[in-house]
Amino acid sequence: MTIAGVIAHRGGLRGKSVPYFVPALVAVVAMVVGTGARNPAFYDGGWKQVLVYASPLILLAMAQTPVVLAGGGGLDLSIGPAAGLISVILAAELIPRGISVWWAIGIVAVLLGALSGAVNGVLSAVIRIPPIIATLATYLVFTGLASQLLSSPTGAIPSWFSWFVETGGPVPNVTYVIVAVGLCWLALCRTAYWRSLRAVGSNDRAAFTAGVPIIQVRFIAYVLTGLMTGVGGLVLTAVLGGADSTVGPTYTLQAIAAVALGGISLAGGRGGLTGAVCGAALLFLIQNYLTLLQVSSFVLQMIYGTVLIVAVVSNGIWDKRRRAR
Amino acid sequence: MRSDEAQPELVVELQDIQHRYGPTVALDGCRLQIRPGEVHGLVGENGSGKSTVVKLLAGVMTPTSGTIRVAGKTQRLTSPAHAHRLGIVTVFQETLVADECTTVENVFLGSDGLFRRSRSRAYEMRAATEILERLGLSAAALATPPAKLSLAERQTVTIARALVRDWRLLVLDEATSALDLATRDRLFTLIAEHRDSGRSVLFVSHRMDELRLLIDRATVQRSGTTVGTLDRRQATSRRLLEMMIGRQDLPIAAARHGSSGPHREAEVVVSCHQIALGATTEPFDLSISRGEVLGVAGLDGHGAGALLEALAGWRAPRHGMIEITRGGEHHRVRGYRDAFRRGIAYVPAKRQEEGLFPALSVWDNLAVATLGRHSRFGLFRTGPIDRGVDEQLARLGVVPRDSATPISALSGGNAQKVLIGRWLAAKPWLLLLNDPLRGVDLGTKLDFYDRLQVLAQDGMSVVLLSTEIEELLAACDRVAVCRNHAIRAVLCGERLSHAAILAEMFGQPETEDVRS
Repeated sequence: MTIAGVIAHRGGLRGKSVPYFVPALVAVVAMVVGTGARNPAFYDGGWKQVLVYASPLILLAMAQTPVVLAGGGGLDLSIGPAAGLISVILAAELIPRGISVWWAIGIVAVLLGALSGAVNGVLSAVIRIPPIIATLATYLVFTGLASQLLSSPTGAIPSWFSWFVETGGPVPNVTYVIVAVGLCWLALCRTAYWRSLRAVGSNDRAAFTAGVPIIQVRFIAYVLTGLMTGVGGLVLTAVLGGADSTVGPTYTLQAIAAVALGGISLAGGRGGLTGAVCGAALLFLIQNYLTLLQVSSFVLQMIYGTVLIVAVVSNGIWDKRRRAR
Repeated sequence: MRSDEAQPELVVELQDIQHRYGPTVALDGCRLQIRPGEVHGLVGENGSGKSTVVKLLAGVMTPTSGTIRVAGKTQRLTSPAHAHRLGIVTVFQETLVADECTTVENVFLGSDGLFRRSRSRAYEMRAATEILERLGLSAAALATPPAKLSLAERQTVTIARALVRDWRLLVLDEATSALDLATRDRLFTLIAEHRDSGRSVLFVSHRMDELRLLIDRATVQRSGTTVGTLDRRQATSRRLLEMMIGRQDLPIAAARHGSSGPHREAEVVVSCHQIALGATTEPFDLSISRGEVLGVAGLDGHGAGALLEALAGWRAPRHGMIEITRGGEHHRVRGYRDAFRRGIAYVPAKRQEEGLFPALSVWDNLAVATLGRHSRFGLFRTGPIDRGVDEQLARLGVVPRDSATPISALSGGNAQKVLIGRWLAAKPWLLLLNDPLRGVDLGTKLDFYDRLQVLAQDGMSVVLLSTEIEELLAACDRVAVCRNHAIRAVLCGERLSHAAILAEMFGQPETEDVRS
């Protein structure tokens, strides 16, 4: 037995030699070092600001994870617009009506997220419209609704929102939100649902015949995605310092790219939030670094695309070698 | 014949079941009664509705009409989970394993609630270890990701998944076909124990020897209808086959076609000179004559498949050369495209994975290899293709004959015929068949042997790899036996017998003939 095999046997690494997110993590570390070399202020507190700006993407990449894990072409194109719409509803509907207590806003954000997830779940998992079509439809609906509700950006939000973006502590406060979501996920991973989710994602026929309720498992995956999208919408509002109906949709493709960069299998079954966080951080750091180099935003897009292809292909090759018999 | 006496405590009863897939009637008038503490065989040709019965019992689908009773109560089995709750567990022929979960997780897959765990991790580990050890899987295999397990080990995991449930009826759908002999015997021992403790097993198999070994009663299906149920004493292989095929004058498989045919003058069309299949394996010679059916035998992993792939140009042998002779000219085959162009057709073993296009029709599946010959400027002329397709369907006796039928609606044997027809349409002179009749019923096989002989008489050479010795005896003129990636013997005439093939396969000249 190889050393990795022994570790896997003892340490419960699910029998795998190296966790799936390691390449992304290594790349993140490399990017941190590279950014620091270019811009010494990055180590000197600059990273906190970067993390704050990256936080909506990190949360939305986390949100994207459950539906991708559930397999069967699972994907949620609507998370960007959903997060944007939630932000718009908070700023344009709730706050002007005097509902501005932090816990009320927080609960509403998360519930709205869960609702959008449930809609996607009914369409994709229950009615079985291919997820890419179902969530494209809700993408359009959410985008239109957000523009309808808020035609021009607003900055009228309660002052407590700035708590999220404060960088005075050892880590920016938004880190605690990300960690809290991660802890909830860890708790979920200790339930039977985690096993069912991976089983459904990797072989839904096997899961179905073994008695796993695959429709429910996939529906719940969409709701989980929605819940995290709600948190993402809340943090997005804080980072923007208000609401802007045009910002949300830009996050969708970035979140999907982040998930792929993080080593999460788009075919389903393999991955987790760690990969999503690494992928999102990597994507944001690349963007940040290229901005430091004053690369034009058009070139930026091309580099994104190339990085994504390289990541997915090398992940595929790595995966194949790892599971070679 | 059928036991109609009152059976108050039947485990499962199917009554007048009908099931349709669209316009196709898969089951009509299906009756099945399973008593507690019995191993019940379910036999029938392909397309006789066995798989449909299995799927109905597994809760994968519900019948169009008819009644399913479980422990005397009428039930609608709406999902596999529902069937499990009623104590019916099923192992399918397919190895349904989730690769991203651990082996232990796979064993307990589906036994929990949506969020609530019904058992602790430690219990699961212990129970899985225990059951897998009983089935012969080592502790090391338990720690291995399922993707790295062998086919037999993966099937063992799915069997363990069924056995750890609280079950009353275990349905085994050809589940032994992927197992090695040792594991199969361990499974049979377990089955016997469970039977003695009052549980029941529905055993679906094509293998007469396994059926004879295990069953207490057997129900025979033919064309979707239940022909009858026999008890152990009545259920001789011969009687079962008669009922399956529906004719009394059963031509026993051992009635050799090959030896009775006219001796064909040896015009060598393929000669292998000192070829070696592995880096360190022994080189050997082999020649194939025009119009012969050459059998290839060998235990799994002993090079029989590799030999066919070498002949097909899929992979070149490590040493030596393969020369083909056509019209006095000699050629060496360079790659499989070259082989195909020169008239060598290879039909791979895994028809689902390597052969068929499941989403397409019979026409598409059959015509795909010859489209290029009937196209001009990239456009197809459908007339000659249609004629070619119809000709092959008739020649091979594919049911149904309508080429617009989706391939997925055909039984395994008929789908295999379509696959062979695809290559025959290209008019090859050498046809390489890699275990074409695995999981195909006897009636289809007998028919198939006849058709092979006709092809051979037309001058085609056929190489038939088979895992069933009976099949080689029935279909082949000569049989080459592989061991350790080399041909150990080419048997023909007097020397060609079940015992001789077995002896060469295992490398023991004195091996006892298991049939006698």
